[in-house]
Amino acid sequence: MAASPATMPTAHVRERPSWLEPLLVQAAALLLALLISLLIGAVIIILYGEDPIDVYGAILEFAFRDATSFGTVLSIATPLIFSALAVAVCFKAGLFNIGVEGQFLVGMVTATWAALHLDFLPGPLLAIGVLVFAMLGGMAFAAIPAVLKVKTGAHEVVTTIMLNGIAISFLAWALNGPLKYTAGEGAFNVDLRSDKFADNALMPNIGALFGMKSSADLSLLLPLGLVAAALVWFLFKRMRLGYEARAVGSSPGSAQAGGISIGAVQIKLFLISGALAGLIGMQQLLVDKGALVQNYEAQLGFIGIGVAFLGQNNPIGIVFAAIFWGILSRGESALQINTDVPREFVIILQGIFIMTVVIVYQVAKRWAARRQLAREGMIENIDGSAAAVDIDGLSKEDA
Amino acid sequence: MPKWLRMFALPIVALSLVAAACGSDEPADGGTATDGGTTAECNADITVGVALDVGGLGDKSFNDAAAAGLDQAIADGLVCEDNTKFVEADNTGSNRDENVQALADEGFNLVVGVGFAFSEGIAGIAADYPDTNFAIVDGFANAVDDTLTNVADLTFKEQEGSFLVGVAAAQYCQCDTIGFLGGQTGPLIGKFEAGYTAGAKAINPDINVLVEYIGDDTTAFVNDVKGEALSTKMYDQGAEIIYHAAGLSGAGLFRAAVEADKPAIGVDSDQYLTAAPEEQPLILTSMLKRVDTAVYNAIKQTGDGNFVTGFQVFGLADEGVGYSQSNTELMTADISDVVDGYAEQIVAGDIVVPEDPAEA
Repeated sequence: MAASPATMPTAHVRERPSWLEPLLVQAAALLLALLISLLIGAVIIILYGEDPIDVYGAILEFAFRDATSFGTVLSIATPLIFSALAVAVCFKAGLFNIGVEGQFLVGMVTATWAALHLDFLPGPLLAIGVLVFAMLGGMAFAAIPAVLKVKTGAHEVVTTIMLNGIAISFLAWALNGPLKYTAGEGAFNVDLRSDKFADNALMPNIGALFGMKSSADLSLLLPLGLVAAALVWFLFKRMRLGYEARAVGSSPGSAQAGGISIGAVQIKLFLISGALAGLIGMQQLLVDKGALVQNYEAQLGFIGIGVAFLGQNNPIGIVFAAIFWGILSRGESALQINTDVPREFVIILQGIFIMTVVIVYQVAKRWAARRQLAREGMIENIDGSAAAVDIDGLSKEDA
Repeated sequence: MPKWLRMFALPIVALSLVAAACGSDEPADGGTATDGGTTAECNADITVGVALDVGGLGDKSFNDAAAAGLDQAIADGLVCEDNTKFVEADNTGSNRDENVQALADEGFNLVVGVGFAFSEGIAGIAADYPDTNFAIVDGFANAVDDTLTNVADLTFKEQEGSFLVGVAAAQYCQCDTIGFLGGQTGPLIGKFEAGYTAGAKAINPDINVLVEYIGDDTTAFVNDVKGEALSTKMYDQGAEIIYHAAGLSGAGLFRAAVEADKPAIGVDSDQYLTAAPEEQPLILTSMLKRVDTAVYNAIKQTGDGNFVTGFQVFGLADEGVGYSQSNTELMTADISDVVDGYAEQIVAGDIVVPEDPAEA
């Protein structure tokens, strides 16, 4: 993240508090990235022979024209919040968990098992039990690459990618075997699926509270996702494990020298990541379908990587990035119904956004760091330090 | 790989591609590009939105068959072309529900979901839009929610059509081994497999039917590479002819057929008509699933104000399924006479074709 504030007595030079500047730089960078992406997108639209205002207008209209539309956006964003948080938790410690996809699939299997076999649990306890089992499933599957990484040094990118394939087959096996429907006579046989869950296993629909139609599929999972984001924020800002994780992520060598057990930190983070990943599938399992179906929505674990990038691995940023992604995804319908631009334009736009955000953030970060250096150099220059003169000269050349 | 990752790596290529593509006229929208629709007289009172499944327009199979039904309705003036809209699902089909809901939101009178994967979504949405008619090809929404009043599930006796091409396959090849290439595992494609096997065994009780399925999810219908590999494998194992029920993946079968120089059988629409020139002579026949007829009927009923909801089953007797005879080189009168004989027995009820491969 942004360079740590200077320890030198510079407060009298700066009027702004030290924490504000990095935040302002980040916000400005995000706005700039947004602007650049929209401009590039506009060029593409114009090349296609359409009016950018119309196209962007159609996307925005579909997201905001009424409560139900925005509810749909939020329900698309819900699983992406969990997914991106899962990616971000590992990324903070320099771990690249590509296995969020597999952990989410395994979480769906264990959650389905719980929904079908723990039905003796009364009332909301069943739903809670299902969520717990979803997290346990994700954690168990995340434990494999974590242990392999710590014990054998096997790189997590390789192991998680391969485990994703195993997860797909595991889910298919479960659906064909232990979880296969038992009561599904007649028409239900057209689609391989589990039995329908009891109603108290499902997530309550909260869309009606905001005047949305039930088809917006907005459920209690969204507030749960916000709570998860807050917890992740708390973990990294206020807890020892979060501090250790950041230390391991930025400099494993000095972290170890400082007495941090790198392996223990990595395993703990992988487990937290797996628990979050386990919750990705709950939107489709407990809100959209009410059963585990063969045509489950896949790829959510991969999309989470992009959303985490967009949100710069910051929990608050991730929430907004997920909603933003939801707006664009819903825009695919908008483009096809209201414009002549092909739906693939949304995919292009999503790619451009990620690219631009990453690039602009890097540029902004360097710019802020150089500013910092220049300022420190100036102060030291007054003091007559030789090193400071060098730094000053360097930054002038760069400028 | 997720789609954004692909674009992530290729933003500049994308830019130049779009620049190049802007010269050509909306290739993705070919289905609605029939000219002259606006000049002919048409029923301007209804609007029709069609939500397509993975594969979209140009799959030369299932989605195109639905599009053909709409095109026919436009040609017959049942609906004006300007009042129709196609919406394609994204590559994993994750936005099926959103597309349907968006069409209903836009006030389309009839919203057609092309594919059984729309069933659950429409079952959940339909009650919110009581004035909209919903039709689902291969659907089972009325089984999900039996209180629905505005949803028609259009289903087919695929096993009957598959039985006929199974007869044709065994009659043509006079061999001991044939093949079946399925898309997604499950009861739906199981009906194709069951009928095909039963038909072949009606001609040759000892015939060996090799069976390969591409995968366990809907992407199995868009994986022509794996379709080709599995087809080649079956040809190598001695299959003299292969029948596919694998959507877009079936393109792989036809390539494998050219490679092996052995015949193949298409599905859903008459694939002889849309195949590449070198593939054409090898396509013995296609199992016709008259998705177009079903969609056409739903549009007509909506226009007439007598939309029939609930399960509607289209069998051989209703001309909802059948087989094609375009390839007169391979599909000689000798063969089609035998096939037609069996067709009569099925229509008469003398033969009941099994739906489950275990019973075939």
